[in-house]
Amino acid sequence: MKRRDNWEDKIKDVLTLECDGLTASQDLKDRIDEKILTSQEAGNMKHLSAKKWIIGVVAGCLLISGGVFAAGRVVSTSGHSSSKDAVKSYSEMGKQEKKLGFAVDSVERFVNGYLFESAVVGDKQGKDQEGNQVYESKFMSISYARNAEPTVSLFIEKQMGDVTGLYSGDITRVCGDVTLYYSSATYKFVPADYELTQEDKVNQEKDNYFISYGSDKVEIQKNSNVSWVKDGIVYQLLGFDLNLTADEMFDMAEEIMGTK
Amino acid sequence: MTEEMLVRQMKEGDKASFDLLYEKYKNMALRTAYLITGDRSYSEDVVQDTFVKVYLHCKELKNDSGFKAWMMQILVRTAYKCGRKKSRELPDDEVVQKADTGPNISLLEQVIMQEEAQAVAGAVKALPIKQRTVVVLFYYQGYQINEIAGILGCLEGTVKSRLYTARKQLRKALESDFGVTVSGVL
Repeated sequence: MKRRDNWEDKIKDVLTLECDGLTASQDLKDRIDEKILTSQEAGNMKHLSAKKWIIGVVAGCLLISGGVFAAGRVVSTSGHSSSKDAVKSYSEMGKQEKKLGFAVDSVERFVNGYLFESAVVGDKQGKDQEGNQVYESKFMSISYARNAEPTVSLFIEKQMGDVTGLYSGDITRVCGDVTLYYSSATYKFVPADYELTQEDKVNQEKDNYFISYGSDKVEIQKNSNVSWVKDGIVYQLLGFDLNLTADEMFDMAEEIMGTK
Repeated sequence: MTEEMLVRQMKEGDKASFDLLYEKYKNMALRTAYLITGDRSYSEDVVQDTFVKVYLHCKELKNDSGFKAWMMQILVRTAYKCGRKKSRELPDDEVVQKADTGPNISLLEQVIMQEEAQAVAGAVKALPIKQRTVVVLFYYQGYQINEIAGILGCLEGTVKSRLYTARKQLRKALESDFGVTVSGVL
C-alpha cells in the first residue's frame, strides 16, 4: 500500500479540487438583489401594521389590469400614511376628500353599531423589477370601531384601467349595476427575517394560509373583505378576525353605497 | 479603496460598496458553502441568504475590519440550516470529474490518485456537518483554531475537539475504505 505522510495536505488539495471552477453566476447576484429589495420594502412597511400592508397588497391586486400593470412591469406595491394626518371626526371628511382629490361614498354610523373612528389619506407606489417607481396614487383608509371588536377598514382609491371581470369572490351580491364581491383568506403575519417552517410550506401549498412579512410578531388571522367599483372608484371593506358574516358585510357595503 | 472603507460605506447604505464586497467574496463563499453542504443548489441558496443578511444587517457589524469573519459566521450558520435538510451524498461522477491530474503522471498513477482523492472527498463528506465545517475552515480556508472558534461562536477547545474527532474519523475511513495508511499527529 502506498504510504503518505502528508495526508493532511491531501485533504486541502482534495477540497480545493472539489470546488475548483465553481463560480457564482449572474443569476445568483440578481436573486440576491431582488431579495434585498423585497426585504427592504417589507422592512419599510414596519411603520404600518402588517394588516395595513395586506390592505395595500389586496388593493394592488385589484389594479393589476391597467396601464403599466398590464405590461407586467409592476412587481410590488407599497403604501404609507401617517397617523398624525388622520382626522378623528366625521365632520372633517371633506378635508380628507380634498387631499384625496375626489369625493367618496362613506357613512358615519352603520346599522350594526360600527362607528366612524378615523380617516387618513396616504400614498401608494408600484415598482418594477429594478425597483423603479412606475406607479403612484393616493388612497383613503377609513376605520370603523364597535366596542372592543376588531376594526373594520374601508379602503378607497381611483380605479386604474379597466378592472371589469377581474374581481372574483366566494360570494357575490348585485346591487343595481354594481356587483359586490366577498372573499376571505387566512394570513400568517411574520417578521421580515422569518424563515418558513415545514408546516408553513405545507399550509401554503394547501392554501390554508398566506405568509405576510413585516410584522413584529407571528400571528394568524383571517381576512374578510367585500370589494366593488362605483363611478370609477374602487372600494374595499375589510378586516381581520371579524365577527361578521358575508351577508352582514354586504349590508354594510350597501349602506356605504346608499342603496340600503 | 480599502475593505474597511467599503464596509463603512455599505453601512451607510451604499449598495455599490456592497456589490464590490460581494464580487470579492462571492466565489470563496460559494465554494465554502458547497464544501459544507455538499450540494451545488443548496450552496447557492446559502450564498444568497448570506449576502442578503450581510446587506440588511451590516449595521450590526461593530468592527469594520472584521467583515470577512462576520460574513463567514453568517455563511456557516446559514449552511448549517441547509445542511440539515439534505443528504450528504455527492454523486461519484462529480468527484471523479474533478480529480484531474497533471500531464507527467502515468495512467496507473492517475487512476490511483483519482481513487485516493475520491476516498478523501468521500470521507470528508461523511463527517457530521459540524466536524466537516471545522475541516473545511481549517484545511480549505486555512483559518487558525481561534479564528474558527470566533466564526462558529464556540470555545477553542470545542474546535480542537471537533478537529481531533474529524481527523480520527478521516484516518479510520481512509485506512479501511481505501487501504491508505496515514500517519501524523492527531
